[in-house]
Parts: sequence; structure tokens; C-alpha cells
Amino acid sequence: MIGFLFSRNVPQDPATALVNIRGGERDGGQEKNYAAAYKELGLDKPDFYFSLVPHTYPRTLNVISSKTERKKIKQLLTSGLSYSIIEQALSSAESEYLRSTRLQALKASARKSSGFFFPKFYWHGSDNQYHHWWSSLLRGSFGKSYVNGKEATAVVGKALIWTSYIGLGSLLFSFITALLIGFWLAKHAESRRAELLNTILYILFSIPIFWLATMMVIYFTTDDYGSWTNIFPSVGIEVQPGKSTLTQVLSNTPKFILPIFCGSLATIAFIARMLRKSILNEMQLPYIVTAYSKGLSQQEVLRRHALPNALFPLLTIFVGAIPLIIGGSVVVEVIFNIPGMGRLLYNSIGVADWNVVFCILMLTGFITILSYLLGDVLYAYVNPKIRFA
Amino acid sequence: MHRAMLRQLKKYGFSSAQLIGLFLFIGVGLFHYLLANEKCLVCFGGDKIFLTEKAICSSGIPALIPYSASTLDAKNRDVGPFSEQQVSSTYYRHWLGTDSLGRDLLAGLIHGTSIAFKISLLAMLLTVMIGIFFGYLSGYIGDEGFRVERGILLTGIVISCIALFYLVYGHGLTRLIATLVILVTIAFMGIKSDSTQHSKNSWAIPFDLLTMRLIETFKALPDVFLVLILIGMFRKANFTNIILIIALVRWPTITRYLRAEIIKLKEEDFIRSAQALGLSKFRIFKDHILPLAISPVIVATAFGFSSAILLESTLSFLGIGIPLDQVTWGTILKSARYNFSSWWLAFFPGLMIFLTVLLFNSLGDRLSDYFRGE
Repeated sequence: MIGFLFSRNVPQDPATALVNIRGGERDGGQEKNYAAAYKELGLDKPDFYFSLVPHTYPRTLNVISSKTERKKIKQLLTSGLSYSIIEQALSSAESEYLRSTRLQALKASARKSSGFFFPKFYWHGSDNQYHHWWSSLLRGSFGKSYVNGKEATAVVGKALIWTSYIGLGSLLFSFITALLIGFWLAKHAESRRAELLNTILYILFSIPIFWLATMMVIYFTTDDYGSWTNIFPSVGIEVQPGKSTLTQVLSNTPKFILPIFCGSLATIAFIARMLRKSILNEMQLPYIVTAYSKGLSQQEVLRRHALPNALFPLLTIFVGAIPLIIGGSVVVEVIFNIPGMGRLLYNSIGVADWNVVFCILMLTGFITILSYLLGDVLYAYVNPKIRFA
Repeated sequence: MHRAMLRQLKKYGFSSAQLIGLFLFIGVGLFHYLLANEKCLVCFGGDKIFLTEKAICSSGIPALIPYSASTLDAKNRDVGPFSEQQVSSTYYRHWLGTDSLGRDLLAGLIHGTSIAFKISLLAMLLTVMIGIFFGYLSGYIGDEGFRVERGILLTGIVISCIALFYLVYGHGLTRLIATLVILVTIAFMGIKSDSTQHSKNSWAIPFDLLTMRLIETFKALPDVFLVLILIGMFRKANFTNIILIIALVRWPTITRYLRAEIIKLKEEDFIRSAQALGLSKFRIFKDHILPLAISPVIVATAFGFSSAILLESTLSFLGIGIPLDQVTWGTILKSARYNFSSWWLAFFPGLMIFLTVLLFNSLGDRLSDYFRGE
């Protein structure tokens, strides 16, 4: 419902966009083209199952394709003019544009009358825009991209592959690294080196991704600061047409190193510190003393007893990291020029391609909710104390 | 006064570095005009005393850095901090270099600080206000707190709907009357509401449920996505819009913390005794609940500052934030992306963002330790 309101109120007219995609005759036929596109998109149907409008309104005003004209007629209808004048204006409006002189005359007479009206109820049945929007959504169609006329789902689907590749990469990389660092930190909790690393991690957590990424691009992908710093391939993905997406993704793998590193640094710092704290908490509990008294070494106590229990609270973080990584993809993908979902969203908003934006919006919301659900299920799986009612 | 404030701040356990950082941020944010300005601050002789053009003013007090953020120095384009500069004296040196238009980087950073300061402060004020309002609704009023007799509620809703109809379609006076009718109806229902009666012919408006659903809607999307979409809907990003957007994205965090705290406090005995004394709902909330429930809000606000600054600079960096003619940390960093050889354009603004974010994160951590009683 919110989605529908959103898609109707975005600042771009879908019919204009459709005309722009088609091209067609530039002069003369413009208005005709527009009207045809308007009808094709079903914008002439009523908005909702019913409507509550002033009694002077016709069944639906959406049959009039011009937006400015619709607005003018709306004003006229509630101005208290006699019905015959308005009907006359309305019938002419459907075929051609209201002439401004006549409008002026109508307005002048409108000022004299009272403008009283009362509500009237219309029932439209299922042939309305809301119903059609929902049914097309359930059929998996978000409409066409305003830029190139392709299906929005296809455009987003292509971008999703790149994003999920980077996302999964940084998720795996950050969790494995964080696990190792956190474990090491907890093991050497008293040493100065571990304390120093802990502080460094705390500082790393505050580094803005886009700064880090920009610096990396400047220093490590160009020759400007000596050729020895030019370690990584320059930014931008080579998309070779004709090959399958998987081979394209794999052939570009070296270019993913920097984005994955930038995207996961903050997550690593955060999780490693959380794990350290969690393990140290566990180490104070009585069962650790029992484990020691059995004659186990410190390494074994940490790995077999403390670590599994310390991983509990990290489950929620693991799940929470998924939407975070999707959010972070915008900046990373824009800087490293990767045709993923974040960059697509950024570009689509720039050119007001709302069908694609809306498709991304729904997909991201879906992934987020799914990841929370996954978190709950996993939590119940590892913790037998929790049972779903 | 100052000493008392300092003592209070020390009590929270802030280190000197944190305090210096905070005062620098606020000071530069407030007085950027005095620090970097191409005009003379105070001029002796001449008609105009304050902020006079250098050419007119023969003697006077100049600013610390003789460049404004937008001053173009055609002779020194793209010069680094350590490279040769064509300036008349050390006073006119560009200490941190210039960009490709010859604008002084240090002056730009100072201007950026003031923008970050203003935006984060105003955005957080708005965020806290929205957050407390919804916290009051969902935590204190809750699902059962607003209970109205069925007849009154239904009549009120019908009247409001009719008034809303005239508000949408009417003009001038009709609209005014409709607005008044809606306000009066809501106020009347508010007066008639009573949380104590649990009779069968009264209905409650589940404010807690509604607020939580609203928050879930907001939280289903990553912050950056939400901000991008809101910017697209506002069409044009300006100072006010950015503040509004940040507040819209950040308020659920404050509300959630406040709600949890209020729900805990609501069942305490001293609140019940205040109710028994006949104090009004709002007064109990203002005098007895809010002072005790505010600590998580303060912590969340400190972290909120850092995320507001991050969001603002990210938006400027992407080129959809504050209008381009304004120099901010994000826009300088953005220009570095097209100018690989000028490392200073990438390094210094990023460093400023990083230090500020670090400052507010550490303040937040310190405060949360303090409130937990460490």
C-alpha cells in the first residue's frame, strides 16, 4: 500500500517516460503520443476500488490525460459553477486543450458563486489502478525501466549478481578475519600488543568507507605516486557481451579485492572487538574453572568451551551485517565503478527511473526481512532453550 | 559558569583530548567567519568597520587565514602543501594546498566544519524531538493509555473524515474551518480519554503497535538507501531537506531506546504514587519519567552526531547533498576522485570526517560507560 502511494507520487510522469523511450515523431504528434502512452499504461482508470469526491465530480477524472488540465478542472468543479458550464468545459477538454480565455471567463464567474458541495461515493470495482498494480506485482512485474525500456526486474537482477558476489565475499572475509583476530585478542588479553591492536581496531571502526576507498584508488591503482604503489588493477569492471555472467564475474575477480577489503574493514573491527569482549565474559564463568581443573590447556579451554558460547551473541550481528553490507554497497560500487545494485540505485535516482528504484527497494526490504528471519531460526537452532510457540 | 560546566563534563569521565576536540568542533563551527575570511574583520578608518574588502581597508585586523572557502587564487592552482607557491608572504601561504580552481584547502575545511556542525546539531535536535514524541506515544501512552468510549471515538472519526474531505477539496475559508474542526475533535477525544476505565464499550487506540510498525517500515531498508530515495522524492537537496532527511532516518533509534526505558519505569511505585496524587499524564512524563529515561537518549544522540556527519558527507561525496557551490568535506573529497595527483584533496577532508566521527563515537562510548555506572 505504501509502495503504491510511493510509486504514484514520485516526481516523474511514466507516460512522458514511455513517449521518450519510443521516440516517435518529435513534432505535432507529441500530444497524441502522450495520450496513447497514457492509455496504454492504464493511467485513465480510477485510482482505487472506490472514491469519495465532491458531488460535482464525474466518475473519474483520470480519463483526462493532461496533468495541468486535470488540475484546472478540479478547481472548476469545486468552484460552485453551474453544472452545464462545467460539463461543456469537460467534454471539450477531453478532445483538446482548454483555451485560456475561456478559463479566465469561467474563473471570473466562479468567484461570484458560493462553492458549496457535498461528498459523493463511487464504486469502481476491480478495474482500477491499485488492483492492476498489485496483480502485476504478484506476477513479478515492476514495469519497465524509463531509461532503456527493459523490464526493471531484469535490470535489477543483473546488478544483483555483482552485489551479491561482493556482499558474500566481504561477509565471508570479514567474519573469518574477525573470528581469528577476536580469538587472538582474547587469548592474549593481558599483553600490550593485544591492547594496542584493540585500540587500533576501535579507531578503524570510525574510518569512513568512502575516504578509505578513495585513498586506496588514488594510491594503489595509479602510477602517480611511483609505480611500486600501483599494485591493484584500475577500477571499473570490463563487461564482455556474449559471455555468461558467471564467467564475467570470475574473470574480474582481481578487481574485487579492494572493494571487498574496504567494505569489510569496519565490520571486522566491530565484530573482533565484540568477540573479544564476549569470550572474556565467558572466561569468568564457573564452567571454565571446571574445564581447567580437568587438566585442559588454555588453548583447548578457549577453543572447545569458551568460543562456542561466546559466538551466541554474535549471531544477531552476523544477521544484522547483511543489510549493512547492502547499504555500504552504494559508496563502494560508485567509487570502484561496479555495475551492482548500489550504483544502479544511485544512477536510477539521478535520472528518476522510479520503476527500477522501486524494484530495488522491494528486493532490499525482502532481503532484510529474510535475514532477520534467518537470524531467529538460527538462534533457535543453536539455543535449545528457545522454542517457537 | 564555565568551570561548573567543565566539572560536569569531567564527571562523565571525558578525557582532555575529547574535550579539546569537542570545543574545537563547536568553536570552529560557530566562528568559521573569524578564522578564514578574505575580508578584513575589523577596519580602522573608512565608512564600514566590520568585514571590509581588503582593497578599501588600509589597516585593520585580518582573519587568521586570508582566504574564504570560495576565494579563487588564479596564481596557485593545484599546489600541494609542500610545493613552491607564488605568494607575497608566509601569511598568504596555502598551508594545506589548493584545489584545481585555486581555492584554499584549509579555508574549505573550516567552512566544511561549520556546515557539518550546523547540520549535525540541527538534525540531532529535530531527531531527538521526534524521537521523544514517539517514545512518549509508544512507551508511555502505549496500547492501553488512550481509551475512549466507543460512541465518542466513532463520532470523532466520522467527523474528522468529513472535515478531512473538505480540507482536501475545499478552498480558503472551508479549509480553515475543516482544520479547526479536526483539531477540536482530536482535542476533545484527548480530554475524554481515560486509561483507567476498562469497560466493554470503550476502545483503545494502540499507539505502541502503530509506532512499532512504523519503525519496522523504516528499518526494513538500509539507511543509505532510505536517504537516497528520500532525496529523490524531495527532488532538490538543500540545507533544510538534508536535516529533515537525517532526522527521518535517525528517529527510530532514539524512540526504541526511550520506549524500552519508559516501559521499565512505568511500573515503578513512585510513578503510581504520582498518579494517585492526581498529577496530569504529561506532567508525570515531563517531571518524573523523562529525567530518568533520558540517559540512553543522550548516548544515542552522541552516536547520532557521528552518523549524521557521516551521512551528510557521504551525500556530498556522491554529489547529491548540499548544493555544489558550498564547500564541504564531502565535496572536496569528491573532487579528489577526478584529480588523482593531488593527494592532499583526498587526505585532509577525509581525516577531518574520520576524526570527528571518532570523537563522537568515543564520547558516546564514554557516556554509555558512565550511565552504566562504571
